[in-house]
Amino acid sequence: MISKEAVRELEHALGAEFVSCEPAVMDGYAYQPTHAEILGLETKWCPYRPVAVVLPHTTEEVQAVVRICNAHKLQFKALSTGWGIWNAPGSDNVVQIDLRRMDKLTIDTKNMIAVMEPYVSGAQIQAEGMKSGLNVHMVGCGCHASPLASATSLMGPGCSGITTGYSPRNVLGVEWVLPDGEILRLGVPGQGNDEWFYGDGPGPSLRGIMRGTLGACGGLGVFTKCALKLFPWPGPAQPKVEGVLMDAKVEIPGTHSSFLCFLPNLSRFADAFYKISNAEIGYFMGKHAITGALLAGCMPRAYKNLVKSETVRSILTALQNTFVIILCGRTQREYDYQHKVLKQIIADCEGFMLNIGHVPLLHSMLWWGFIRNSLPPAIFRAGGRFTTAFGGFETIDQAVFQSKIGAVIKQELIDSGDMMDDLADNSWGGLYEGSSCLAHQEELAIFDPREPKQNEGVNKYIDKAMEASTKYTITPGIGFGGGGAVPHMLGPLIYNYHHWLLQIKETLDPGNSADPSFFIAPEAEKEKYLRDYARRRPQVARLVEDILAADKKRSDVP
Amino acid sequence: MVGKKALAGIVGEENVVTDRNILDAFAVDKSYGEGTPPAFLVKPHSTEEVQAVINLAKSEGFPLIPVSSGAPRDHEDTVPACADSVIVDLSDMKKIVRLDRRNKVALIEPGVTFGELHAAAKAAGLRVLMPLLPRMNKSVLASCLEREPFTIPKYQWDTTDPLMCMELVFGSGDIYRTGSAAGPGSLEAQWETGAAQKNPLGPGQWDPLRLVQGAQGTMGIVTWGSVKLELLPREEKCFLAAAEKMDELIEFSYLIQKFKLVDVCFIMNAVDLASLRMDVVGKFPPWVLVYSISGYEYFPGERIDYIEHDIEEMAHATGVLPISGVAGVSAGDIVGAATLPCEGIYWKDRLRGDCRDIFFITTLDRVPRFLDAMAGEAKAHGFPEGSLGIYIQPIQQGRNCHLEFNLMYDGRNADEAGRVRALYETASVRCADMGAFFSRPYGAWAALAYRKDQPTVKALKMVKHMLDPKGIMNPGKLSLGTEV
Ligand SMILES: Cc1cc2nc3c(=O)[nH]c(=O)nc-3n(C[C@H](O)[C@H](O)[C@H](O)COP(=O)(O)OP(=O)(O)OC[C@H]3O[C@@H](n4cnc5c(N)ncnc54)[C@H](O)[C@@H]3O)c2cc1C
Repeated sequence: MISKEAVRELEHALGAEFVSCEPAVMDGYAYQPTHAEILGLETKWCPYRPVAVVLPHTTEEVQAVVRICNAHKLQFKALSTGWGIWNAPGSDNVVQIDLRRMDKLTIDTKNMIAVMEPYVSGAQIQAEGMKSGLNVHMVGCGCHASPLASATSLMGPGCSGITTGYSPRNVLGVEWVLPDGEILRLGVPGQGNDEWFYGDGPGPSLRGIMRGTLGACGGLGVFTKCALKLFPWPGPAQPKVEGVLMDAKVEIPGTHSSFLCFLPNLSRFADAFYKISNAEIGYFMGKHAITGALLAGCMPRAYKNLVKSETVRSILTALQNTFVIILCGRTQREYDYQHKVLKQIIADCEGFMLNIGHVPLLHSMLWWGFIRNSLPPAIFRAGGRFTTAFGGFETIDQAVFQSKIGAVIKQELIDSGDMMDDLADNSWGGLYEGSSCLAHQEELAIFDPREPKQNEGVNKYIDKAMEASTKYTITPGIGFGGGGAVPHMLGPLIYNYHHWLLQIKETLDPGNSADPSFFIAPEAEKEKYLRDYARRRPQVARLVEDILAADKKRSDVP
Repeated sequence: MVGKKALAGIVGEENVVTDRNILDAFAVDKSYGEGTPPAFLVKPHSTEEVQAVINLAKSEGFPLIPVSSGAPRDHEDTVPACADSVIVDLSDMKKIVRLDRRNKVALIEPGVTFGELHAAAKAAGLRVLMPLLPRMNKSVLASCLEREPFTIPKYQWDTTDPLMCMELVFGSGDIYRTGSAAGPGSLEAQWETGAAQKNPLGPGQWDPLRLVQGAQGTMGIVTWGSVKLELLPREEKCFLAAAEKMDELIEFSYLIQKFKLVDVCFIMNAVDLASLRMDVVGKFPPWVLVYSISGYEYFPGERIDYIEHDIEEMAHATGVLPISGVAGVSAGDIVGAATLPCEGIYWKDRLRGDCRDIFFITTLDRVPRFLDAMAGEAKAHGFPEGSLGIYIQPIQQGRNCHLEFNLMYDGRNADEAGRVRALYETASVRCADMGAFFSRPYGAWAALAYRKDQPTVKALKMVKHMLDPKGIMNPGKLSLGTEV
């Protein structure tokens, strides 16, 4: 419950039209169409509604909201564009800070830097950047999502990563409203000159407490501005596009083309990734399970029947080790060179490739869909929902290993009728940072939430994936993001990282006013978080009991 | 004060140095740092020994100063600010634990020098991402921890590069691993599944590597780290672009880096170039942009060819002329000289015997105004133009740059040394006032760097308290306090 006094103060600070406690509006914020299953939820309704929603317009207004929350012992949680369960309130005492009125963007074209507020989308930055030959890193969520949210607070993989890197590594400065309402600016902006070209120091980089593999998911305050790196775009300043998504028609430059590369097995697949990385070619590149998620996205109904045919199935399976690469030459010379190298690499790896440029309509759809990053929503077409697991960021070999293990787990669940048949290996993943040989692969699972068995199957999949990560010593990716109970479970296996998160949280936010539900459960709430988690995920109940018993034993020692 | 016996109990009698000549030498360094000689120097050989030394320091309350490179020391960061300190010299931890050709990464201990890693990497067909002519005995990990810029900006995706993961002991005494090295599982188990400690992020929702890098040894002691390597080019072609004024090179420099066309890439004035190549008789032009183009495993000659042509067009459009040599020295020779560890006399000392550096981060388009300011300050202090070296190293793929002024002088001449010191102090303040970002705030620069950013100081003190609650790690540095 929120007091009338608190609402009055919020209204005074922001204007009454930017504060709401309307039940229908609150419901809107409690409805999370994606990734609710990582909390073990079987519906899209989150456990808690916010007590109020506020729409601040400036950093000062965000500070005011945070201070009011502190004064009234309310918690707060920010959201930028709101594409997943991570922005959901974690208790019945949370004011949701919806940052959609903070949408300013400036671009320093020479130094390839964009300075943005939270509600600037990837598509907006890209459209502005392209005018100066620049592009931005967007995660696989799509171009509608906020790059600030990704870079400061959540994850980071996306398929242009070979050129545009990985969200958390692209940060060049941050404006951060701490849980007590004070402002911390990281890097050059801290000098007070409104310059945004370097985000570390002086001395140690406080980006180290801002986030790691995963962000704090709103658990350490609110990011009101950040500078991100932009990357070269060797294409038209304003691509001429007609139609959207699957029907997009676009003029593609003669020095660009997209290729579907098929490799005979995962080992040659990995070799091809290494060789491409070492050759420093390619603009966009990703494994896209062309015979799984992508095909299912293009023809959701037909797909379900196709996989029932043994013959079609055997063809699709034979073509499973596939990736898409787009070559974007700035000049014809560059394109010709890259094309020649790619052909040789695929030949050396005993694969074959199709130049999609020879199929203009398909090429239009794929080229624009990938460059604009507009295709991700297609993932919802086949089943209505999807989930994902693994996705640890490491070498190419380890990324491939992750999809291999993921496929084994999924196949068992498909065989037992617990999962939709999508040919098991339905992983997507990118190659990152040019020659760095860094990669990630997530094993996706499409499911129909109306089918109780599939809901259950997805939960089993997530648990088995976590179990496999520890058994096979795979660095967690998505696994880190399962909510505030997770660090307490994974921490003992990973140098007790949860102890340090707790210290950061307690020092920056002693009153626990920034909703910790997707960061780390504070010590006082640990048992509640763990029991909640175990209730929704019976598979981990045993582990939870072990952790709690060990805690009790420790506290019993005089 | 801690006794020798307690230290010897951890590292062995032979690894506790009590020689006053050696210890007293730590009280000063090449910079203006003046401190207190340490009580002892210890040489640990394992993570466990490092941890035991830290735990002893915690319980007895004495300061520790980690060092990994050989002498001479510079920048004041290893000069003890407090009495009764112990130098933890890691130069004996020299193992190259693993060199992985497929994943282009080396896992090394802190005592491994550029000279050593360069040789090992080269034998595997790889190259080390090195700062400009590092000293032969400079520790690779120490250089990474100091965020020293390296000469191939296209390979720097984030400021932490080329450092990926590490193991360290925090001032709290806790052993920790960062990035994907943190697990789950041992290093060996991770290698089995194809991992190679290449993900620098995390573990989980924090990035301790970033807190230890740039910390001047104030947070903990690193016991190994993984550094990314790159392919040794199969073929390489080098070029120079000369200019009367630095401004003329800016647009061209932005362009060639934006599209990651070049490998080695930096800008120098004639004074620094002459120090690199003392054997050159001719006269270098006032400014030179040095760059190389590489061919790797596939069709190396063709790669160089297309890039050379693309760059020619960019040069034409920006009024720059790429040339293959100048003053009788080839571009290849300059690149060769700049990308190896430095043998013999350190390159900056070759011209006048001594050198004081002022360096900070800015962007290429902001550089000219710092050059003007520095020229003005040099003149006002009677510092000769012919002794002012200037080195501009684009970093992070050209998004910003390390700008370095090398004030070369004869240290035996007290008058000259005094003038250099005055110039160093006033020019540092002037540059800071103009927006120079002292991201590596050594010595007096800390006060300059933090004077306008108290929230950062407050947050750093909180981090320091968390990682080093007793304040034993290199107290007195970075405005973090001297209390042990
Ligand atoms: C179809 C689909 C595919 C996806 N694929 C990927 C993928 O490939 N890679 C990937 O990294 N992610 C992916 N995601 C997950 C996620 O939605 C994205 O990471 C997205 O980038 C974050 O944007 P958002 O709009 O979801 O952020 P939000 O929901 O606004 O926020 C995400 C988290 O950050 C916090 N937060 C947001 N803004 C702020 C702020 N200003 N200050 C403090 N905290 C803040 C929120 O509280 C929340 O915890 C996917 C999601 C979907 C729906």
